[in-house]
Amino acid sequence: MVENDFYVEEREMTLDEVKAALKKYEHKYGMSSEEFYEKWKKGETYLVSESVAWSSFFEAYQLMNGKDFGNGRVGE
Amino acid sequence: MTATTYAEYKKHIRSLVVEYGRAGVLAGPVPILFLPVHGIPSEEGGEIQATEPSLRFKDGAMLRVLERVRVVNKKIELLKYTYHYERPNGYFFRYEREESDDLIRKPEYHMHVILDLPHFPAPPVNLELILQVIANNFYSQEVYSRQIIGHEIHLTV
Repeated sequence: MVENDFYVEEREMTLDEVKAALKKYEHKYGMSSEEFYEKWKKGETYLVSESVAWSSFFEAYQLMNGKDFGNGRVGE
Repeated sequence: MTATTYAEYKKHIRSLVVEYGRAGVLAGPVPILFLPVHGIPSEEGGEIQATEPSLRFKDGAMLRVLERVRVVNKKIELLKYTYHYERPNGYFFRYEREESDDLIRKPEYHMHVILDLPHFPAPPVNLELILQVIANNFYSQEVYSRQIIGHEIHLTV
């Protein structure tokens, strides 16, 4: 059965969408993305159920903003 | 799965969700969004995600998906992933591959059921297998599936 409203939307995620996702997680878990990311790297985010997505969005945000990851300049 | 390039793998993901949409398991619209990854050229990989928003099922359940993909020697490697299936009443399970130094409390390949802790060791999975598991357990008309749906759980850890 094909539902009337079924379709696939494929595209690149925009920087604004990444920022909105980060803000949603920051509000939900009560900490900044930078704070979360530092804790995540140390393995201290056991109770953040969206840690995989949050860390990915934060890394994508840094990449899209051309920021340094600490292990080399983004884009090099 | 026969994909040997990132472009082919993205087509594979699309065909999977279309298959489950046409079967009436997934509800539309289905968002599949791509993200760049530091250190991975865009033609060799990146991230595929349906978390914000997630995939939706016909009964209101949802599946959050994120995969970090890299093609190495024409082989698809999932470097990191999360597949979080949650039913409208809050029951959930989540399979993940996530970097970790703690092999007991948080194995690299792990799963959660109902609670975010503990991290139980799990075999590597992919979206194709996860959709099969979900469809066969929660959306089949067979007796087996009907014994799962509607089952109430009251427990304290």
